Order: sequence, then C-alpha cells, then structure tokens
Amino acid sequence: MNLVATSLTASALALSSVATAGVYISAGTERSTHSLVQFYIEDSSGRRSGQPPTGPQVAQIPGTAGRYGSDSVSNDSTGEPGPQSVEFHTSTFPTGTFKLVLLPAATTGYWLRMSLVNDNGTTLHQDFTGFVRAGSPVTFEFEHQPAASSPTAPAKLVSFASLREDVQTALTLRQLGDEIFVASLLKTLAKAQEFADAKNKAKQSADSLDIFIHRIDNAFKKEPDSDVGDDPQDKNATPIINRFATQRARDSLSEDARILIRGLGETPAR
Amino acid sequence: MLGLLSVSSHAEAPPSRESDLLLPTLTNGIQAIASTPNDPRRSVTSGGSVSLLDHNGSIQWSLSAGFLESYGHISVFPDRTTFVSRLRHPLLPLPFPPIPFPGLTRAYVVRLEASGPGPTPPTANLSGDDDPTVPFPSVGAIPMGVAVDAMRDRVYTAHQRMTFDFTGALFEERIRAFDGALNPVAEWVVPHEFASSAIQLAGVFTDAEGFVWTAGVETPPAPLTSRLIVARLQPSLEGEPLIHRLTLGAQGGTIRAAVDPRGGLILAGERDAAGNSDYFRRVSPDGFLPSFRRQGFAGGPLAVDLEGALYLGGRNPLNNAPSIIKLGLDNAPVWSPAHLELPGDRVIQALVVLAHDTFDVAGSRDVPFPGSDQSFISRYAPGTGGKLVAISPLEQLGFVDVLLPSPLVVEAQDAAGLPSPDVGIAFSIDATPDGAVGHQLIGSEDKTNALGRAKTDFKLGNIPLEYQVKAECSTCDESDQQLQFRICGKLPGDLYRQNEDRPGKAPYVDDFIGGSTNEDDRIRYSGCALTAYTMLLNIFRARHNLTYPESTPGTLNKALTPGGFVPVARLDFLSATRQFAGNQLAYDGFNVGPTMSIAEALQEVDRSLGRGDPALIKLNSPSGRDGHYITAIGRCGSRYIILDPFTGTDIELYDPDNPPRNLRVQGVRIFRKGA
Repeated sequence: MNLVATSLTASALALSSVATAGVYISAGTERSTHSLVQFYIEDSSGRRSGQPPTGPQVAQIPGTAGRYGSDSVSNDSTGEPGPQSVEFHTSTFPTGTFKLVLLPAATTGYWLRMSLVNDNGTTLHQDFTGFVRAGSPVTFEFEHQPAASSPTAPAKLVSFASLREDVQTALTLRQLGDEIFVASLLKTLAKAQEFADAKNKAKQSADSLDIFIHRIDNAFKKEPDSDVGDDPQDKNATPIINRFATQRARDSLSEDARILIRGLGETPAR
Repeated sequence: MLGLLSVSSHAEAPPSRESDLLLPTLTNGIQAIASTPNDPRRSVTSGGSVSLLDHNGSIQWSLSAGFLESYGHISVFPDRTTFVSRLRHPLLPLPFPPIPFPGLTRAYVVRLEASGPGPTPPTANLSGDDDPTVPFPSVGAIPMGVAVDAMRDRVYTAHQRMTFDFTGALFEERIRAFDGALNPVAEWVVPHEFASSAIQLAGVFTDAEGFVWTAGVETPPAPLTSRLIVARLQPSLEGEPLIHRLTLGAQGGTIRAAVDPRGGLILAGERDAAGNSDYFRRVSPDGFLPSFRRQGFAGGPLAVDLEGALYLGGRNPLNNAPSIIKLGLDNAPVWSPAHLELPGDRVIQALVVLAHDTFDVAGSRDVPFPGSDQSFISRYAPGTGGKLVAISPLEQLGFVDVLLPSPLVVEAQDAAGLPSPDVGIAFSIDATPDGAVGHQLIGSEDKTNALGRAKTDFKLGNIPLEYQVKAECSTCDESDQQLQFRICGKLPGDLYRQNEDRPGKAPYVDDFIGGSTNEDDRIRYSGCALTAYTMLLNIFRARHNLTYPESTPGTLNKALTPGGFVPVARLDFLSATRQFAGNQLAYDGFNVGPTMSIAEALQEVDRSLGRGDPALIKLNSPSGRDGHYITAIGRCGSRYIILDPFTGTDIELYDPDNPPRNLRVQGVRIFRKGA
C-alpha cells in the first residue's frame, strides 16, 4: 500500500513573491565529483523529461528542452572538480500532476530541493533528505497549478516497504544502530503494517508508527526507551549506549513514518 | 638635375577607366594628345584632324581632312592657350593660306586659342628660309615634333629640312625655339656624322628644368648600321650640347621617345645594339643605361610620370589585347595584373600621364561599316580620392548609453598613399541592435581636414550588442570607398574577483561559501558562481534602479546563507534570487546537453543582452576544470564581453566557438527584471 501525504514539518517551507511561474528542482548526495543520483519527471501521459533509467536524457514534456543537467563548481585554483548535483530549472513548465523519480546509483544519503512558483509569484521551497539504495528509485509527486493562489507542497511516496528499506539503508550507512536496535525497529514497523492491513486497526497502526518515531528520537538523544520498557537493571536488554541515530536518520525516517500515519487517517494516542 | 631615383617594387592594382570620350568626326585615329593638370582634356590632335574639346568632351572646333601625309601636334598651356604645328597642305581649309602647287611639304606652328583658331592665329613657318607662296620652292620641311615649355613661354619644334638641287636632296634636322608670339628665337642643327644620312627624330622634349632633349636614329650608308643620337640642349639652344651616340645592331629603323621629367629620355626602338627587337633604353645625362625588352610595346606610345615610371601602350603579347603596362625604375611591371587591357577593337596611339597612375589614352576604335574608325580618349585613374583608411581601430568596445572614449577617425588617401584634404566623408549608423535607443553620431565631420582626416564621435545606445558605423568617401575608388566600424556595447559594472579582495571593501576571499567548513568551499577557490552572480545583481540593480542593496561576494554570501545554497555549498540561483531580490528579479536556467545545443543556450544569453541585461555563462573543460561561472555583459560578433571573476580580466572577449583555456559552454543562467 502506498500512502501519499503532504509534508508539513520536515521540509523547509517558505513563501515569497516571484514574477515568473516555474519548477526548479535540484538533487544531490554527499560530496561526490559525479552525481550519485539522477532523476526524471513524468507527466500523467507518461511523457518524461530528465534522465530516465536507461538511455539518454529526454525532454518529452513540452517546454523542458535543455532544463535538466548536472551542476558543479570546480576549485579554480587547483582545477579539482567540486561536488556534482543535478538540476531541472524551468519557467516554462506545463500545468498538471507529475511524478519525480529519483534514481540512485549508490547507497547513500541524498538531498532534494523542489521550488514551485505560481503565476502570482508565490514560491514554495521544499527540501527532502533521506537515504537511497543503489538501484532502488524513490518517487515524489507534485502538482504545478500556476494559476492557483499558492503552490501545493510536493510529497514523497512512502510505503511500509520503502520505510523498512530506508531503515536498512540507514543501518548500512551507519546512520542508525546497532543491529539489535534496528531489528527491534523493523519488528515495530511489521506490527504497524499488520494493523494497517487489518480491518479497523488503523488506530493501532498509527500508535505503532508513533512508537517507531519516538524510539528513533530516543536513540538520537541517547535516552532510555520507555516505549519498550527499558530497565537499566535488566541485563538482557539492549544497552542504551549501543543505540544511535544520526539527525539525518531521525529526521528522514520520522518524516516517512509521519507520512504513513497521515495516510492512515488516524491520530496517535500521544 | 634630378637623378634617377629608385622606386618601390610592390605591386599596385592597375587604375580603372573613368570614362570614354568618343570623337566620331575624326578619322584615321588620334596620333597625339597633350594635357594640362587643370584642364587635361581640352586638346587633341590627330592624323588629318584637329579638334579641341571642352570639359564635357563636346567638340568646339574641328578640322577634318584625313590626308595620310598630314600630322601635327597640339599642346595646351595652363592658361588654355594652344599651340599647334602641322603640315601645310592646299586642301586644308583655314587658317592657312592656300598653296598653289603641292610640290613640297611645309610645316607651320599655329597658336590657337582654346575656343578655336580665331581670325588670325599666330603662325610660324618652320622652314624659316622659305616663302610658302613661291610656286616652286626648293626647300621643304617635315615637322617631327613640338614641345611647349609653359614656364618659360617657349615653343620648341623639331623638323627635317629638305633642300633640293639637281644632285639630289640634302636633309638637316633642326630644333627651333619660338617665343609665345611664335617669333623665332633660336635654332640648333643636329649634327650628322655622315654627309649623306638623315636623322629620323623622335621629337623634341623639355624636362622639368627646362633642358631641351631630342633623339633620333641616324642611318649611314650600308653596310654601316644605324646609330642612336641623343642631345640635351640649354633652354636657349645655345652653348655646347650634351650628345650621346650609340651604334645599333641593324640598319634603319625608327625610335619613339618620352622625356623623363626628372632629366633624361626613354627610348623605344626596333633593334638595340645587340640586335634584340622591341627594346627600351633609358638615357640619363650621363649616357645610355642598359636596354631591356618589352615585347609588344616598342611600337606604341610611351610616357613617363614624375617618379620616372614608364607607361607603355601596345599589345599584351599573351593575348594580343590592346594594353597599357607600367614599368618601375627597375623596368619591372608595377601593376598586378601587369597589363591594363583595353577593349579588343582599339589601337592605342597616344598616352599622356597626368599624375601618378592617372593618364589619358587616345587612339582609334573600329566601328561597323559604313562608318569608319572612331577616335577615343579614355581617362584611367586610381580614383580621384584614392582610398579610405581607418585611423582609429575598426573594432572598439564601449559602455552603453555613453560616448565612445575615442572618436572614429578615417583618412582619405590618394593613389600614392598621401593624405587627401577636403575629401567629402559621410558617416552614418549602419546597424544597431533590435530595440536599441539613444545611439547617435555626434560632431561628424563631412570633409577631411588638412591632414586628410575626418572624425565622428559615437554614443552607444542602451543595448550591449553590436553597432556599426559606416564612413563613405564618394570620390574614392569603388572598392575602397567605405569603411565599417564595429562598436560593441558592454554594460557598466564593477569587477569583483573571487581570489582578490576589492580595495575599500571588507575582505571576503577566505570566507566559506554557504556556511560550509570544507576547505575547497572558500570563495577564493570555488566562489566563481557567487562572485559572477554578485556582479550580475549589481548591474541589474544599477540599470533598473532595484531596491536590494549593492553587494560584494562577501556580503552576498552572508545574506544568502544558508537558504540560498544547496547542501554542497553551491549557489541555488532560484532560492538566492527570491531571498535577496524578492520579486524584482526572475530566474531561468538552461543546460547544454542532449536536448539543448551550445548555440541554443547562447541564444538565451543573446536575448538577455538584447533586453539590456547581463547573464551568467557556465563553462567547463574536458581537461578537468568542470564548472566555472562568468558574467556576460555584451556581445561582439561571435564573441562575448565578459567579467571573469577568477582571471581578473576586466573585459575579455570570449568566443564560444574558439574559447580561451579550452572552456566550453555548459549552461547559462538567465535573469529578468520582475514584473
């Protein structure tokens, strides 16, 4: 099951006035002289612009020729190339609903900035960060309705499966640990999905996802995890000292969990 | 006495024909023409016919006889007074008295006014000692030439005097001098080496210093071969003359001659001392110089200009076309191509050099039956105004909306490359960028000054593209009468360098970009985009009176951190522009790749410049320098005028087709003033 929800907390949202409508997207990873991600945009008719999974760049969506490309700045003193990212900047983008598919070439953390500008100059900037696994596309959805009063925020398409994969990737990238803790988090997600798939158990699913969020937050803060009954005297429990989550792991995984909660239509007990 | 000077040997283009004067009433062709600098076309004489021409070439006065044995000469004084000598003949009408018996030829000099012969023109009998009214004269005269020294009001004639008795004929060649009223002043008899010989004189000539020259071929009895004789006389014909003789390789023959105004003669003959045909020989006061051959031209007319260059009329031996050739002092052709060819039906009879590379050619041309041959005079000249030369650079850069720092200057030059004063010059704006306003010529001079120069100032319009100003010289050669100045506009803006702080501004080159802590992310290393963008923002601000503050790379970096950058400390142009300029600027980006060519991307820069706005160009290099931003502030043909934040080049013309440092266009960043 794929759930789509608008991110309100994990993104840097800003509204400002601009003269020209358009879509401006940049994406990249950690410092790398070759971009480890590419992306393409697909409209509702299946036309694509950008770098598809195979073949050369395309610009099938009208008004997008020459808009996709890589960007970098080299060290002008040494000639050393700088970190490379990819971008898609156009003021001539058609109206409609679109998918953005991020294509990772490596297992790594990524960043994505989308700026949507409407005819009245209202601009919405939204940043996404997270983890990608080589060969596993990440999909976002956005609307471009330049005549509307303000842009609609784009959203990442999140599922229980994609969130589990992100947790595994965070472990791989040493953004989350230890393995016992990650296994425990995956069990929590499995339980949440089990409730979601069951009739009338959406509330329980939302509560499980909320526990998932809090456990990662506690790992980030190095605090006892009361949700699973941490007892400092319990010799068999996972040592708190071994649990960790980086800020990026906490932010991205928590945001994805919140997207799933919003998709359930329920509010957690807390 | 002037010596023979050396001349440069570089090839010049033959002059072009200005126009033809056709003389339909003359027959037998023109055999001589003479000219003066201020009215060079006023006179012409021909075999059997004499005509005077006015400025427009219409015939004012004409005698038409067409006798084969008659010929004559006309020269024109600068004061438009004309001298003529010709053979007297009873069938000729006025102004000569009739001869009752056409037994002997007699020669006269007749002074004519410019408007015609007049009722009683001054006349001199060249025979001198003979009464033309005597029915059976024993002395006759054949005219061989006439020369006019206008400076000294002297007329010199050369003729052959014939004395007959029952033992045969005796020939003497005489040079006579007359005053302006044609009163005889002096006479000199050309000395013979052989009593029975006659000397065929090539004429009489005066050089710039007034010396009188004559030359001829003396033919002794066989088996002796003929001899050249050249004599230089004082203007008074008195004293001991300078005489040079040279034995030729054959008997008989004739020569033609032209005076070198600097002192000397040039002879053209049939056989030289070595027996070579079609030879030419320069003669200086010191004697004969080595002969040289010029096949096809020895039988035609010759003339010498003030520099000693020799003009020959004849036929191009390669194709037999009637041609003029110019030979320098080294006797080598000066023009390239060497021959100035005339239409194929013409016979060149006479040449008059008016100035360097300017001359008249006279002769005859065939006309279809029942007509006859038709005389013509053609003027050949390099162009009365010569050529137009640029003194100021043909390409200049200037800021939009202001005067070029230095004027556009041209110089009119004559055929010799000397400045020509008082030549009409017309400056005009020939091309401007679409939509440009405010450009104008200021203080354009319409005539060259004493130095041959004219200038104009030019104020550029508001668009930083290409303007063209044309300078025209109406009297110059067609191929050299226009000059095109290219003026390329550029937008004014302070240069900031990413690796050098600007004096008077807070230091910034070591600041980290976007709050990064990576050493490579200092402005001095990787701040080209930030610095180029700073310059662009400042230019926009000044041109459109925008309200955001003027910035340095340092202040802009601080103002944009962190929102104006993406996570790898790279400028996010959309976010940065919204953050710093709000709705005053709009942004658009283009990348070169499979879906856009370099040319298409640069069209976006051109559109931006066409609006009067700067743009950013992103460059890369296959050699490793991947990503460098510059600010485009103008365009000049295929080249862009840029501010480069790293090289510090204030203004650099960057040609995308031949880029410096192997840089190639990777993308462009376009901005517009907001609505």
